[in-house]
Amino acid sequence: MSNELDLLKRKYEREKNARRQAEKILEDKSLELHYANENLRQINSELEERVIQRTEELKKTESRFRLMVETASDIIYRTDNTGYFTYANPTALTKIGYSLEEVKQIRFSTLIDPEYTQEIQAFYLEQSIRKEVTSYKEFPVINKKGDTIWLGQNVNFIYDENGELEQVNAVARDITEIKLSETRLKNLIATLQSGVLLEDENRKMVLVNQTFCNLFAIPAPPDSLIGIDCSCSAEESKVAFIDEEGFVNRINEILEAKEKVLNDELLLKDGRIFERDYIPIYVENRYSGHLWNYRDVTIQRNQVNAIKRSEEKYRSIIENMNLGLLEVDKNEKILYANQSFCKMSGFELDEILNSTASKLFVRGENAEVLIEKNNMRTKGVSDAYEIATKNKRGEAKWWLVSGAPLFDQLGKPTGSVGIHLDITSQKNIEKELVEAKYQAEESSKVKEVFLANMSHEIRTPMNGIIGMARQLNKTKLDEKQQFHLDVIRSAADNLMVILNDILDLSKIEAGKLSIENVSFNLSDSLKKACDVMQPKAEEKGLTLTTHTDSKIAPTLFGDPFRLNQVLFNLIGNSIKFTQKGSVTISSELIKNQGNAQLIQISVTDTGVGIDKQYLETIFDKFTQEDRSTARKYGGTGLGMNISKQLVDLMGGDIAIESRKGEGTKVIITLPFLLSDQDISEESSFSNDQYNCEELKGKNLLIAEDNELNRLVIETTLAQYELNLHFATNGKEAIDVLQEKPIDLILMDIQMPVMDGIEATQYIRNQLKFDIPIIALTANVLKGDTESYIASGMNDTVPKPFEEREILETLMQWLGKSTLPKADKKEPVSTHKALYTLEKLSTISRGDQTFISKMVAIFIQQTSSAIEEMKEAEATNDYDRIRKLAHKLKPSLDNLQINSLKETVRKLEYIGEEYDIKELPQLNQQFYDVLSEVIKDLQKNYA
Amino acid sequence: MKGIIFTEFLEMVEEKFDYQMVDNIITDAHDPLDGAYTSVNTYDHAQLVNLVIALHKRSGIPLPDLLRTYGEYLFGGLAKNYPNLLKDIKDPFDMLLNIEILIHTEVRKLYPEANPPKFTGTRIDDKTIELVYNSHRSMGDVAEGLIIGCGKHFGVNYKVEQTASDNNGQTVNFRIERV
Repeated sequence: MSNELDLLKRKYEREKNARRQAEKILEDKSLELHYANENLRQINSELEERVIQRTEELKKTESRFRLMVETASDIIYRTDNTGYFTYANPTALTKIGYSLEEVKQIRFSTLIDPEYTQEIQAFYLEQSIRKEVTSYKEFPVINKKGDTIWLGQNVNFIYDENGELEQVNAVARDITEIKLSETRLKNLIATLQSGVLLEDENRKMVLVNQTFCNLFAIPAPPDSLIGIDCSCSAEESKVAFIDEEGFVNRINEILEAKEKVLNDELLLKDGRIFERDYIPIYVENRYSGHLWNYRDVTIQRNQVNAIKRSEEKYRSIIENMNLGLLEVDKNEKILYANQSFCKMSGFELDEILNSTASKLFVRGENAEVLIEKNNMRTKGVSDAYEIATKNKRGEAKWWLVSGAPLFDQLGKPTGSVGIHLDITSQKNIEKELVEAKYQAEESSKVKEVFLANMSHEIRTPMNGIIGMARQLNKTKLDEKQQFHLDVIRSAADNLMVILNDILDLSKIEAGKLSIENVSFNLSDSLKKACDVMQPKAEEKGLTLTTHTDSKIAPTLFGDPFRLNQVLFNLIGNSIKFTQKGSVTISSELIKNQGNAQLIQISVTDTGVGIDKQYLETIFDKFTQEDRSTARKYGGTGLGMNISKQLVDLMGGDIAIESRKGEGTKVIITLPFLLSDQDISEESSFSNDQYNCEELKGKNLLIAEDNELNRLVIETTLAQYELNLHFATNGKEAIDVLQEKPIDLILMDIQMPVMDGIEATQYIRNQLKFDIPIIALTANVLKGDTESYIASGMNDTVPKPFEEREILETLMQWLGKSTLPKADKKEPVSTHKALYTLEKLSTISRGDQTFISKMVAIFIQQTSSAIEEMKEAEATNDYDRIRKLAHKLKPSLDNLQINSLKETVRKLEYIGEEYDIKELPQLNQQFYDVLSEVIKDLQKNYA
Repeated sequence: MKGIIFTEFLEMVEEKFDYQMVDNIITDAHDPLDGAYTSVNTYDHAQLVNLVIALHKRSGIPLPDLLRTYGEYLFGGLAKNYPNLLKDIKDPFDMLLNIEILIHTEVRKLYPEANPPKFTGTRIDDKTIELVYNSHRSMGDVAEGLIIGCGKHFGVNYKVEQTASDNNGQTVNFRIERV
C-alpha cells in the first residue's frame, strides 16, 4: 500500500514537474508571440503608409499614362478575353470611326479587312495558345466609313494568376502611308529595268529584284535570297565575265573604299555589256550597307558604237570624196565645207566660214540664182542645177550643184547642204561638141544638096540619052544604024548602071537611103526580077529559073524594090560570069519567128566561079577579081558592096560560096514581117504598048526647064494622043494654066524664076486649082517627097522615068475611078477599112514623117471642105459642091476612103447627071464618113 | 527529440503494463528528469533509448518488437493529438509518400528546431510503395511500427517489410505492399 502510495506520489511529482515545464514553455512562447505581434503591428502600419503613398504615386502615374494614352497619336485599345473592346483611346476612335459606346459593342475582329480576318485570327489564337505575351503584326482594317487602314499592331496578352487570358492590350500605328510607299517601292524595285541588290553592312542580302536575278541568271526567286551572305557572290559570278579576276578585284576594291562608283563598264563573255553603280549607304555617318545597281547596256552600247562607226564612215566619206560638200544655214552663212570644196573653190575653210555663199563664189545674176535656190531650200525643196562660178583666183568654173534642205528635229528647215562637182571641162567639151555637131550638120546639109544636085545634073543628060535612044529604037533603022544604036544603048545602060551605083552608094553613105516597108509577094518579086533579066540570059543561051518555097507567106512586109535591086545585081553578075548552063534563083523559109519569117534567097550559077582569095574582098568597094575583069566584063566593082549595104540595111546577111571553075552561089538571108494585107495584082502593063484610051485628048502641062527632058517626055508621050503644053519654069506654067484648060501638070522641081514647089503652092493657094500636079524629080531623097506633097502636089515620078511608070501615074490621076474598064485593071483596093494609109506609104516609100504630115494636111483640108460643103448646101450652090467634091477626090483616093467613092462621084455631077434630090442624103453620108475618118486619124495618127 | 515521443512511450508502458513498470524503468534508466516529461518540451533522445532498454530488460520482449509496437502506438497518439494533419488524407500510401510535405513541414512550423526523421517514398505500382527511413537516431523499427499503425488507422491492409538496412540502421528501406 505504501508502495502504491509512494508510486502515486512519484507519479504526481512527475506530472507536476512536467506541468511546470510546460507552463514555462508556454510563458516563453507567449512572450515571443507578444513581441512578434508588436513587430507585425509596426510593419503593418508602415506598410499601410507605404500602400497609401504608392497608391497616390500610382494614381499620378496612371493619370499621366492615361493622359499619354488619351493623347497618343497611336491607336491604343483594350479588349477583354473574347475580343470585345473595353477601352479605346481617342485616336483609335477617330481612326476606326466609332464612338466609345459603339466600339464597346463590337469585337475587334469585325474591323479586320475580310481578306485578312482568317489569317489574323489564327495569328492571335496561336499567341494565346503559346501563352506568348507580346506580338507584332501588320494587317489592314476597315473603318466605319469603309476606308482601309493598315495597322502595325503590338499586342500584349494579359494572363491572370491561373494563366488564363484575362485581357488584351494593343498599341497600333497607322501605317497606311508607309504600306503604300512600301508597295510602291516594292513595285518600283521589282519592275526596275536595272538589277538592284541591297546588302547590309555584313554583306547580307537585304533586297534584290527580279531584274538582277535575270541579269545574273539566278534561278531562285528574289524573295528567297533575302538574308543570304553575299561575300562569295563575286567569286561565284565571275565566270560570266571576260576578265574574271578583274571583276572580283574591282568589287573588292570598291568595297574597301566604300565610295560611290558610277557607270563601271563590265564586259561579259556572251557579248553583253553591263554598267554598274556602287552606292554606299550611311545612316548618321555610320556605314550600314550598300546598293549595287546593274544595267544591261549592250543594245545601247552597240547602238552607240554603230552610230559612232556610221558617223566615222560618213565623216570619212564626206572628207575624202571628190565631191565638194558645203553646208549653209538659212541665211546662206557657210557652216562647213569639206576639203574637196575648198580645193574646188580655191578658198581655205577658215576664209569662207561664216561668209555668205552667194557673195563668195558667183557674180551678178548668178548670185541671184543662188539666193533663189536658198529660198527654195528654206521651203524644203531640193534640186540640182549648173552654175557659172569664179574660184578664188578668179578663174571661171562651171559647177554642178545638188542641193537639199536640212531639217531640225521639229521638221523645220535649218539650212541646206550642197554637193558640188566641177564640170568646167565637161562644159567645155559640151561647147565643142555642140560646135562640132553644128559643123557636121552643116557639112551634111552641104553634102545633101550636092548629092541632090549631082543626082539631078547627072540624070538629066542620061535621061535624055536613054530616052532618045529608046525612041530611036522604035523607028525603022538599017543594020548599021541599028548596030550603032545598040552600042549607044548598051553603053548608056552601062553608064546608067554605074551612075546609079555611085549615086546609091553616096546615098547609103550619107545615110539618105531608106528602106521601104510595103506589102509584097516574094514569089512575084522574084519572077519580076527574072522577067527583067530574062532577055540577057537568053542572049547568052542560059536558063534562068526561079523556085519559091511554098512555106513562105503569101504577103510579106519589106522593100521589094531594093530587094530586086540586089537580085538584079546578083543575077546580072551570074549571067555575066556564066558562059553556059543555068542561073537559078530560089527562096527558102529558114525559120518562122512569131510574126516574121526568116527567108533565104540564093542565086546559083554554073559560071566560072570566084577565086578563094578574091572571095575575101568581094564585098569591098571597087574590087574586081583582077584588073582584067573590068575590061572583060565591065562594071564598076561597086555592085557587091552596094548589095551588101542594101542587105544590111534590110536587116539581113549576105554570103557567097564559090569554087573556081565550078560556079557561084550567093545567099542572102532576110527577115520579113508577115503582112495580112491582101495584095491585089498591081495593074500590070506587061506589054510595051500600053492601052491608055482614057488619056486620049487630055491636056497635059509639062513644066520642065531642061530642053532635053522636055523632048524626052514629048517623045515618050507622043503616041498616046495627049495634048501637050510646055512651060520652062514655074511662072510660065502658071500663065499657061490660066489661059488654057489643063487636066494634069507634070511639074519639074528645080526650075529657074519659079521652082516647082513655089508654083504648086501658088496654084493651090492663089489660083485655088485642085488640078493634079505630079512632081518630076531626080531627087528621091528622104524628105523630098514629103515636101512636094506638102506643097500641094499629088504624086511624084522619079526621073528618069520608066514609060510604064509615067503612064500608070497619068492613068491614075486622069482616069475615071469607079467604073472598071474591060481592058484595064484599076488597082482595086479590097481592104474593108474606112481608110488606109497604104497608098501614102507607097508614095513615100514608108516614110512615117511624110505620112503624118499628109494626114495632118488631109485633116485640115477635109475639115474646111466639110464646112464649105455645108455652106454651099445651105445656099444651094451646086456648082460649088461639084467643085469641092472634085477637089477632094484625090485626097480621098490617097487615103483610099472607098466608102465615099460613089458618093463623091455623084456629088461631082450633082444637078447634072444626078438629081439634086439626092443631095441631102449624099451630103450627110459625106459628112458622116469624113468626120469619122478625121476622128480616127486624129486619134491614131495626129 | 520532441517530448511527445517520451510521453506517449510512458503512457504506452502504463497502458500495456502498469504504472509500476513505468516507475521501475524510470529508476532503472537513471532518468535525469525522473520521468517528468511534457510533450511540448524537447529532450535528449538517448534518454528514450535508456528507457526502452530498461523496459526490454524488465519485460524480456525483444527490442525490435518493443520498438515496433511503440511505433504503432505512437501513430495512434500522434493522430489523436494532431487530427488536422490527417484529416484530408484518405489513403495511407498518400500519407506515407508525402510524410515530409504533409507532416514534418507542419511540425517544423510549430517547432522550428524539430528534427524529425526523413522519409522518402517511391511508388512501385498501384499496390506497392517503397519507403526509405533516414535518421541519425537509427529507430527503423519504430518507423516500421508507425507504418503499420498508419495502415491500421486508415483500415488498409498491407504488409511491411524491411528490405535493406544500412549505416548502422540510420538508413532503412521498407517495402509496403497492399494485400
